[in-house]
Amino acid sequence: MIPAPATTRSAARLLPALLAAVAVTSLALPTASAAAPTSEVYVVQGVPNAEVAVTVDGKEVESAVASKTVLGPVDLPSGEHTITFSSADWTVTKSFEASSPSIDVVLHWPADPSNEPETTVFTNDISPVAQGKGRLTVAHTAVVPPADVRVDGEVVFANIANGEFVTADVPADTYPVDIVPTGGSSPLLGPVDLAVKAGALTRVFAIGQPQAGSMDAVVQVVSSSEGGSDAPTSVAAGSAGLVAPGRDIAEPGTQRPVAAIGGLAAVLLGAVAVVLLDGRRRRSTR
Amino acid sequence: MGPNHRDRSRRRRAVVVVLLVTAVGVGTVLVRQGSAASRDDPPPSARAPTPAPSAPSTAPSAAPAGVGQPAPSTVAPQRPESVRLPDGISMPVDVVATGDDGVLDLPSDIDRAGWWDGGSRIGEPYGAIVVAAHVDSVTAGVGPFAELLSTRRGDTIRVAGSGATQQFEVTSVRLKPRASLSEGASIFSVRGPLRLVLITCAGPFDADGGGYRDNLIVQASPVGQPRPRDG
Repeated sequence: MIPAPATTRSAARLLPALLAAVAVTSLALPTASAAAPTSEVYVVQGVPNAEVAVTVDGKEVESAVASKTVLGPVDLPSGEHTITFSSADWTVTKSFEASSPSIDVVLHWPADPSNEPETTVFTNDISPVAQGKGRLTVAHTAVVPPADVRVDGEVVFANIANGEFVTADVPADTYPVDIVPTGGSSPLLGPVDLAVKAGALTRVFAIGQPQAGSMDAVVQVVSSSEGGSDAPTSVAAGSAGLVAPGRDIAEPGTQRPVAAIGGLAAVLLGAVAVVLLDGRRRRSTR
Repeated sequence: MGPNHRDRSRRRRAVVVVLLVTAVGVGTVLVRQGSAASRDDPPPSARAPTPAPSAPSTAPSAAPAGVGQPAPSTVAPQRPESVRLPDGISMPVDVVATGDDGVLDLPSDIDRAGWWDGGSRIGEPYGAIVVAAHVDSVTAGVGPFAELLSTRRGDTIRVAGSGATQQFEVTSVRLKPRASLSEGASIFSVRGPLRLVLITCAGPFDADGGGYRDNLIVQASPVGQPRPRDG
């Protein structure tokens, strides 16, 4: 059964709850060893108001896992494994494939009311992220129809259904985020201030059920690394002077004389002329 | 030429033929094995290990967990692999990095452009997607990026990644002295709305080592969301 309604949480009360739920986990860089491939497996308890026992491959990992807890990582060899979640009301046993270096196994309610929660596996993209950026993933694991994710009231990710996720690299910053029904404007969750850390993967799971007042977010931060190079201070993108003012660029050997002549004309007149030509051309096309 | 000599050369020819046949045969077997291995055998890292003895005997009966799927309304972030300029000419785009000297390490081929690996990708909501290419070279002449010299506001540029394309509309075309490219460097910023920044060289040319005086910078804003390729 879906848990009984809890007290309705105001947006203001969500923030500390969200921050408290941040589980910062440091993850060693994937080892180069191909001999014994393993997967770092995180277990996310996304069922509100329930305590569950978590068992992996017949071995108990923890006996009373509260809602919004992120367990792990548990190191598992690549391949198929079995996970069991047991509460007072239900026992859910699923097999899952540990096939990439980092995965999340999430226990959550499906979009439609159901007698027992379901389990969804998400792959964590821990490949390097460009300098100054963090990777953000938002997963829909709540009892609500498809939803939009908004930043500052503007839709950034649209139409995410239960069991789906969106991901993007965004500047490291704190974002005022809320989740609204697709195309709607009254938040199902938030707005909350979401911190996205540079050089890390920040994962947000929307969980719970609005009617029960149990909508909430689980935030998980998995370290990755910063990649990409510095911003250039110089772009040297030409070496022959063929498009410089005064050069006959239509000589044999040039590849695109027609466009190049157009370019020559523009450059001959300089930066100011470019603007003038622009204006003239726009007038003439009207 | 005596019969002996003829026999010897005939024998020699036969030996060569046998060796050739053997070599071709062995080669074929090797190639077959190679391709069979690459087609059918997963790499060692993907191979499932033999079940641990501690695995419970109840395992086979468990239904598989769901697998989280990307929302179909979005495309997975992906770097540009080609750019189509306003004149309709497409160029392949390589990944390029900034060197220790601060210079963007562009492909020397004027027919290839470079995507700066510190910038944004197709499918991301913020920052600059930076693509640059040589305008010309002494050996190959004028390159496709010379098109930018006659590009105007409102022109359409399209970038394509492995699975999606995104259309952009040119919002500004300007010259900036190369020496001050990084001053007020918003063109490389990871912040702000998503935009496409194309860079090449232009302006007066100093043949005595200075090269072009200016960079030509074309900025463009996305028109709608990226679309799945061939969709």
